[in-house]
Amino acid sequence: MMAETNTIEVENISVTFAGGVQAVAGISLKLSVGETLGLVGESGSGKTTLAKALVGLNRPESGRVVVEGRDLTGLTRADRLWLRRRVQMIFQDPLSSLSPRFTIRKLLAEPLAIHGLNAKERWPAVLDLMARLGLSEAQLDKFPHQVSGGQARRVAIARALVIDPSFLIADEPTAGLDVSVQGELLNLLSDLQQRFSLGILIVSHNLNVIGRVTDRVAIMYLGKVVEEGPTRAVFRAPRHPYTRALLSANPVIDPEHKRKKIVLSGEIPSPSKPPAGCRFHTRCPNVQPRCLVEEPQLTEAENGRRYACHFPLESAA
Amino acid sequence: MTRDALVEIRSLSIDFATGRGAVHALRDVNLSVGRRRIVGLVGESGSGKSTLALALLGLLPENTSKVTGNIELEGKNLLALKPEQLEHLRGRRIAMIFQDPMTALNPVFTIGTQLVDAQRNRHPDLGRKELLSRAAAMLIRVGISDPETRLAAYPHQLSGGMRQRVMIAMALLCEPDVLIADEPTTALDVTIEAQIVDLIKDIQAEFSGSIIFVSHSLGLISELCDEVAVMYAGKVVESGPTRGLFAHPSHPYTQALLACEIDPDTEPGERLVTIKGGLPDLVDVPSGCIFADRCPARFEKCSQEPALREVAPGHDAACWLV
Amino acid sequence: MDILRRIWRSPSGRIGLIATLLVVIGGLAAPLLATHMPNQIDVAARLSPPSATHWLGTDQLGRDLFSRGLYGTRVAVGVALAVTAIALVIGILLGVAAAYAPAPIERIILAVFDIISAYPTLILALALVAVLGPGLQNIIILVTIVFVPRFGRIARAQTLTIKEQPFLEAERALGASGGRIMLFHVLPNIVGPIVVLASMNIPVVITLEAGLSFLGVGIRPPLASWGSMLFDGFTYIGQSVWPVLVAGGMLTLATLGFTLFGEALRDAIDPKLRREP
Repeated sequence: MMAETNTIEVENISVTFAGGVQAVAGISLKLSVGETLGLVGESGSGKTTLAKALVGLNRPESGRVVVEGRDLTGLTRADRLWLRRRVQMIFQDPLSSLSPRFTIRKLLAEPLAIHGLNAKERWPAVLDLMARLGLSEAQLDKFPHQVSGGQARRVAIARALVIDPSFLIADEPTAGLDVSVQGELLNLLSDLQQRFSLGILIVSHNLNVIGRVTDRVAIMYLGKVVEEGPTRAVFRAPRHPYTRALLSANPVIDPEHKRKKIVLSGEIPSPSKPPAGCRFHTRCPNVQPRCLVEEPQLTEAENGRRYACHFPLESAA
Repeated sequence: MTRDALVEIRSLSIDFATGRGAVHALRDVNLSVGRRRIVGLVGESGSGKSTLALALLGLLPENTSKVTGNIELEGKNLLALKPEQLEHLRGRRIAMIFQDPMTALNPVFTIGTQLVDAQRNRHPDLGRKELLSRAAAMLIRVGISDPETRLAAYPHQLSGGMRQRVMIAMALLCEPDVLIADEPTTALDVTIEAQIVDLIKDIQAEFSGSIIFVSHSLGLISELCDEVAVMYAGKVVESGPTRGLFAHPSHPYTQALLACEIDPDTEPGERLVTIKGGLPDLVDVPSGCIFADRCPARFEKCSQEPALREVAPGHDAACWLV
Repeated sequence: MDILRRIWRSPSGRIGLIATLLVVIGGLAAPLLATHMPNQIDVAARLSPPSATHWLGTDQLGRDLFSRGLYGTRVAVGVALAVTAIALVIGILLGVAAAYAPAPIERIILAVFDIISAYPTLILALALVAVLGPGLQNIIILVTIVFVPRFGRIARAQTLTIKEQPFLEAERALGASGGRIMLFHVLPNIVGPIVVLASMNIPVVITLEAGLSFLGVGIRPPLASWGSMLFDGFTYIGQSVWPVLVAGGMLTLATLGFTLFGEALRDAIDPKLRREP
């Protein structure tokens, strides 16, 4: 297979933490430049762990991460620096992800220093980026705790983008935002994507956000991808019962109570002791004897969709 | 307002003292909550919805500098009560479910002990054994199987969803008239949230009191509540029956908020709707309509403050355009 | 500067700051301020009360107490600053290392800390004197050993709380090297409480040094030290109280000053302890 130069490819990776919890259990995914991929899951699904593995913050115990054709297995220090110029991440809580004793100016200059870029030459570009993000120069000499939460979020985004990465991993970018401003942030991300032709991975539990701004989506449950495909197709006609339940549980404005909700019973099992067979079988409304013993594999289906279920839902649902 | 109201809030205003001056957290709020109703309080951060919930419980923070107006529970003004009388009311007639059950559950006592203690106020004459068996029965009712094991467990041994069920059980054991739920599902996963919402609906069916459900999520409010009050910057800008209000939102803020909700069915690439600008300064509150600065429909008259006016039976909005 | 202003705002902080400045300036400027050589003997004027020539009187050898006290300040403050500075640096290095090191190394470092702090300070100091012998340099070394664990422990605890902060992970994601993260992002966030501890530690070192010198195992005569001045003073207290008063007074001024200053510094630096106006 020819190595593609404008993708991140994850091949069958697993990440296990000290203590033996396998947070990511054999996942393959691909993110291309110019595309937005959504990663959805509940707590314990391993979505943040997977995202961190893409930026080299988690070391996979098996499998490969290939960025722009370069295999990251056995990362050296030089590789890592290279990787971080290509792939950047913004973290869930913007304020606590900014070093508290650095001014905004120092925070924005630091990525340039780390990557040996000429700060003076690059500074106009930094200011341009700030303006694009709606940050004013008056904020440069403030400390993170002196700006609003929304501004801190913009600073974190600016920091990730000043070194011109090709990929941006965004962990819960709208967490804690009011509805009246979350749209602003999402519009901003899509502007930036077009301007810098970024590949964006959005990790979120918010299905409305994922449904609206991503091209493709991967649904995770207990360390596995259970379904993947073009977002609209998956949202319109989920093939995996978990996807359907997740979509159904998502609160939408429905004062007439027209929608019949599928409420899953039981709790999400602990990732340290995933159920045998299909990991979803303990909560699946359609469980069959086969599901208890045989783990379904993620198989290719029509239109670039994949799902891991022995008894998939009808496609014309 | 001649309905059979259990709770009647009349021109309630609350200020908090800060270094910059008094923050007017609530201004002239009126709300009535009927028996057996679920009333939703919806708003963004800074709207005052949580302040209102705390005021109902008599749990306002220490820096509260001014409280005017009335909060009446069956005609009795709670704001005129002495602290010990209020304490007596909490846990008997008013109970609360918090966003984070861990802050409300004591980590060093078992669930059983805490469920027993929660009932002491209500049933001072019952012994520990009876109270424990009542607790066990209630746990089953809130969907916790094997209550015996759970009663012996400590809060950290339970999952988030389980803890929230315990909180609900604790609140119901007090047999309150008013149950206040402040963002009870915000910290939960969506499939667990759906379970808790179902549970609250079930409770409602056999509960003689009212539920006040505080949330930032319009979706949840629309699914769960009978009536809704939309709050913005310390004011109720619109209130009414859920169906009518969502079908015909009359205040521009409500309309904008609904437009901001992301509808996954619209075409991708379309710009998402936002409300430009930010909350007004609650220390130096601008005169006139509180939403005027951000309102797309603003006109000259908006420099005067509009009162709530009826747009349909029971449905009020505070806007000059209605 | 903001911190100094905040210290100045509290009355005890103001007293502490003034006393500390007096002591430090007195020690630094001792050769300029002293009216006599500290070891200049004037047997004719032994144990005399304050007078125009001897402002605070003289000791049993007729040495000028004012001048000896000033030189004693030099020794006391010098030892305290040196010990605290060295213990602070070594403590931070060991503490941060312990927080980041693999478990076995961390355990060894902590065990050493435990062993050192298991002994009462004075007993340990006496035992070390027995090994190293008295003298200025040895006093500095042994008192430093006594105080390293205090700094090491707090440095480790601070590092542990900061280690899991998302901003360190964010720096890694940005590509920052371990050294950069340590120097720019870990250190600045752990030094606050350690500096406060250091300022509170200075009076403790001053009293410890005075105590050792009082016992005759610290600074060796004829070098002036408040401890040995006190000891000599007590021997002749029946004939004059001035030697004890002067040495004791200066010791009190110094410890009180540094303590009040340290407390005010703590309140000024630590935002969690700071009271809102």
